[in-house]
Amino acid sequence: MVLRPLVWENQVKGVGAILTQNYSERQLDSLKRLRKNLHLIAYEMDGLDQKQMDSITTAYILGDGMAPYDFWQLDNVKATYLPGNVLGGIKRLQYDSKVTLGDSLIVRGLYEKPLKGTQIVLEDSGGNGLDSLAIAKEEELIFEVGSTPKIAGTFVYTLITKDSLGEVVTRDPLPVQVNPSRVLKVVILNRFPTFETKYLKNFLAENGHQVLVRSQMTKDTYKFENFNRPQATLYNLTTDNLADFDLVILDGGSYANLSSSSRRALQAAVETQGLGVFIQLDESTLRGREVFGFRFKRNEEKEIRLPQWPKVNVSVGPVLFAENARLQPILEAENTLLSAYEQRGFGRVSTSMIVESYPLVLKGNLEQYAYIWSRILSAVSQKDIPIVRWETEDDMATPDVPFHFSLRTSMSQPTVINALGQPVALQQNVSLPDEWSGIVYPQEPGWETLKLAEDTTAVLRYYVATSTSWQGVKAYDWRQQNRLHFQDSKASAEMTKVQRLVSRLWFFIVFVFAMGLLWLLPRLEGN
Amino acid sequence: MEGAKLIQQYTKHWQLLRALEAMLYGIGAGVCIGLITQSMLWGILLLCVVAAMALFVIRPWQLSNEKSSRYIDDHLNTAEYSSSLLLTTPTGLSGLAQLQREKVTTRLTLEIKHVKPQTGLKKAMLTAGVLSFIGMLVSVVYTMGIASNMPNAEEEPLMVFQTTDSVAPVYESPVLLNQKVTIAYPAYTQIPTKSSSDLNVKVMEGTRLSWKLGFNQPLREVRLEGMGEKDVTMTSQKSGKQNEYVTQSIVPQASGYYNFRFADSLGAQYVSDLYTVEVIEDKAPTVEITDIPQFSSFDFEDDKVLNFTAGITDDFGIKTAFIIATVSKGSGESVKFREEKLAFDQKLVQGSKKARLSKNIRLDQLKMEMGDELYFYVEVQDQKTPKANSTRSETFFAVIKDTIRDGFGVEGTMGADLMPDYFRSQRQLIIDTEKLISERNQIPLQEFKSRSNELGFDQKALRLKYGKFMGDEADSGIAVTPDIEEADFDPDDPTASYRPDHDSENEHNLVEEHHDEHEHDDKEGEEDESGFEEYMHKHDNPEESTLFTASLRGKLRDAMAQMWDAELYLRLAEPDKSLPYQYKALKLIQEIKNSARIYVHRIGFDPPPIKEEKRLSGDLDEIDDFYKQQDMNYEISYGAMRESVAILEERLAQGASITAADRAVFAQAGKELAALAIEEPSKYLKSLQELSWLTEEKPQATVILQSVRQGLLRVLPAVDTDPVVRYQYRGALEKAFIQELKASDR
Repeated sequence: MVLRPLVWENQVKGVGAILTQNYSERQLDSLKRLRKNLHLIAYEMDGLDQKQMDSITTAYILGDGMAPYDFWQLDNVKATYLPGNVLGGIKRLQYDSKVTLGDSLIVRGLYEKPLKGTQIVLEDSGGNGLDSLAIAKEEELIFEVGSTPKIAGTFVYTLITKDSLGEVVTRDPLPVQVNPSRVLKVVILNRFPTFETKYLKNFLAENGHQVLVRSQMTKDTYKFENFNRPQATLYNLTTDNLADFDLVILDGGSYANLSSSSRRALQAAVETQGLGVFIQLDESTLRGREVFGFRFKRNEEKEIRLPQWPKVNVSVGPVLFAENARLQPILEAENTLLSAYEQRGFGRVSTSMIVESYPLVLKGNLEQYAYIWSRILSAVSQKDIPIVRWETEDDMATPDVPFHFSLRTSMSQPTVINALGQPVALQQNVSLPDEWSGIVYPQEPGWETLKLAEDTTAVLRYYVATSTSWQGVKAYDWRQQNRLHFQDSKASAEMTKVQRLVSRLWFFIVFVFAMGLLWLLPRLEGN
Repeated sequence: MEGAKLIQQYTKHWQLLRALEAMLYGIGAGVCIGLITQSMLWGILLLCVVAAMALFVIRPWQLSNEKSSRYIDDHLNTAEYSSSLLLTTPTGLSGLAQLQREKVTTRLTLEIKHVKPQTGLKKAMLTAGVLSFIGMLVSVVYTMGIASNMPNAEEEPLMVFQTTDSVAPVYESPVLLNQKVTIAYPAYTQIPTKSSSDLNVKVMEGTRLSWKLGFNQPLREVRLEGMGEKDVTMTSQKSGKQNEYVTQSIVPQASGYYNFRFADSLGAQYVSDLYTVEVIEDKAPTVEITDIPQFSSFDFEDDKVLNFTAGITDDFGIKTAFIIATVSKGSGESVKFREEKLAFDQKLVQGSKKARLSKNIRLDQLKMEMGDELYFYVEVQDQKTPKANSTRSETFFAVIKDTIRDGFGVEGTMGADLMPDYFRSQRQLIIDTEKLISERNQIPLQEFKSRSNELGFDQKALRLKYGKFMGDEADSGIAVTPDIEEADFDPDDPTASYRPDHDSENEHNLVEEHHDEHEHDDKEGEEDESGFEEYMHKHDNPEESTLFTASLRGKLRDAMAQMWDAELYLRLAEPDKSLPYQYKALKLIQEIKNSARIYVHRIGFDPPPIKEEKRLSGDLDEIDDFYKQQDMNYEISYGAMRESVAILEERLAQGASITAADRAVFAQAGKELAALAIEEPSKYLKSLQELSWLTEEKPQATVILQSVRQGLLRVLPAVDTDPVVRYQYRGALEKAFIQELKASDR
């Protein structure tokens, strides 16, 4: 009696319609016609009323859907998702929220049901227009706007859509973190001084990079030029001395002359440390049809034009890359691969068909020269990040909405603290012990930070946008997630098993029966 | 009063009225235009023009006494058509007429006033009135329009001062009563000194500026900042109620910004807005010489005169203009130069902005001789002080031809001069021959033959030309041109001394020539070929001493033989047959040309061959590595401006106030922006102004911070394209992935 036992019992319950944003009235009317006693449940972004949920076994979700973090409320309900009216606007957005100074920021998006004359404008944080496009056709459109950030720091760019009259329709933030460019540490090994190397080293040194140039003068005698770095020499390559560099540029002759130990060290540095290698093609290397795993084919074309600068001729060497699945393109022009790299372990090895680029400098085409070499060297040079790598599911957070983040670190027990110094609980990934994830609930719009207690330089900055921003993108996202989540709902359960208290009357009947039995038995035996 | 006088008076009166009418038209038009253009000059000018035109149309001087009397007769019944009697002398009149004259005289004396002369005065007055009204209306509307567009164009609003301290003083701060900048242009520009209350000034190079500020109370110190290296302290001078502060005159060296800063008697600091000074350069004068070619050459006999005109302009006035002429004599190492400064024929009016000056240079006056060359250019200086701008024109050349040096040779490759163009080369002959063949069917036979013959002549001329080098006598009796003959007899001809008087050999291919024209030579030639020959010790065989080596001679002979045949068929009007010979001749001539080229062995070190095993085995002990270390001190362009934007971004995001360290960055950014904005100071004024506010301690509104951020972002140039390092995290997962990738590669 005191324990109050329960029993499972089948029960027939009602059908509910959960009305979310942008639901279609017609859909609701049709539903009402089909189901007589339809419960209408309004969804206000902050969860559903549990009492109302108890009264239904089947739910139809109408409109843009529920927030993914509220899905759990429908775990016991057979739910069907019926997407509603799709409003026009930007529905998908893709951009790199972390760029390095010198890189360009490119914002791509998908614009649904555009109206003719709609303009998309990218503005910087100061409100200066950077890039814009006007929509000419009324069909779904993939747009791209971009700009090159001028300053390192955290900025909130703005993407604005205007109607054909120039009135602002939407104004949404694009948080961008521009990291300062890091000094590149380059070593150039040449068998003899060349103009190509001379101009390349000047270009790098003038941009503040650390460059060590070793050019051979005669047997075992070298000329060492150190730019922006203390005087140093480099004879044999070892894993240790290569660890000081991000990138090794060497000509074919120098590679051929490397001692076997140096060669091994170079290979090891590339494969395990992620060292970048750029090979300058020269006559000796070009004679063979295969160099460092790159295969070439003969080339008749002497000059080629980059797509951005159709008037500038860039001279190309006598060979071109032969087809190879492992080649990753860096620079392409006129359907010709000008420069490419191959992944070797963690590192990359690359070469370029632009054997002589210095004539560009001589002709004053400095912009093109800088472009070519920046692209090539940026693609090749890479270094591992020291301690931690932050990952976030979304580019920006919303107030009072869970924001998932994860971090990868070799630390055994990392502690993440928020801006107030309070620790955030972390969950370790079972199969990947170096991955930890956590959830924060930001409150105010603006920039927020998370950092490691062990190393306060390892900071994650994320932007909390107002809940009204990026409506179109959010709606599309939710529609997709709702559709996925509710497509394989549990088997139909008109009857639900509900736990119900066992009636005390039953106990009483058993008691009376037992008592009667106790009373009757002596009588029977007594007879 | 006498009757005649009456009429005369009336006529004069009439004339005057008509003149007045014309004047009225003039006045009307003048007033109208004067009001519309707001210029007295235009008004008067138009008045004169229109009045003159009206006078010319009306012609009041054509009104005569007779016309008046007729008019009076027509309009005054009492005159009884007798007013003309008044103009006659009474003596010659009949009695009745005299009586009538008396009668009319008395009547007219009384009634002439009633006869109104016929004029368009009313119309003229109306026109003048309407025109003046229109003028007035337009000018009123116009000035009102201007006034509404530019309120208070004359008086610029007084500058605004801000306190620099974070707390504004409680007492009444000093009030600026007036401001004035005096602009004294350099004297040579002849622009009068000007005063203005607009402190943004645009001035000429070398202009002196001075400022005057008047305050309502004495101040501790007033400084002018931004002009020159140091701040200028303004000196106080009391005038009436005001406390005036003036600067000494300052000559701004470059475009820039300035502002005022003052401290009141209690030491509170105030700073004004920024103002621009734009310095405009005095442009250098321009010179343009027309009407002569860049190169002129004269024969010695010519009238050696150069005539040209120079058009000179300058923005403020030309000071001097002259011609620098250089005569060069001789050539090579013995060349001598003589320079002269020549004046133009006309005198230049100093200070004029435009001038056209001409010059007549007689080369003889410059004592130029044959072969001398004259180079000259015009140099102009303007009046700019202290250092005048000067401009040079292009250089022009004049040469007196030296005919002595003119000569000709066979081909450029044969070490001689140019081949005169009256020789057709063998190649040209071939082309012409082929052309002739192709046109055979289209031209009359006569012309065909004649052209073929002409080609034959050309072929002969060419043959003779080459023959000269063979030692053949060119004196063929055919005058190719007089020049050739002259050249042939030229004592300087290098071949002259080698030229034989006759042919020594009688080779078969030369025979034809001799048969053709030199039959007498033939005999001599045969004589030469006597039996003595083989016994003779020949030093000076003229045949051997042509310009060419023996093998070359043979070839040339062959070529000439071919030419002979070519000529033969051309003369026979059979160009088709001639062509193969011409081709052969051409080929031979080409070979000769090539063999006549001189190849000089390059002088240089010819190393002895080295043994391969010895290569790179030298002693390198003393050869050391070479070291070089250099720091480029790379700094990102406009670093402080970029940093300022980053700071502002941060402060705006956090809502934090600006720190002292930030202010230092802003100050630096201000300098950078000012340097960047030097070209167009007024464009960047707002950002610079606001940036300068941020460097002061007084807290600024968020709007200002945003505005500065926007301004800086707009101005900042993009960063240079630069290679960047990419980051890559490497955990267990990546390692496994790479490992797998490597495994599957093989």
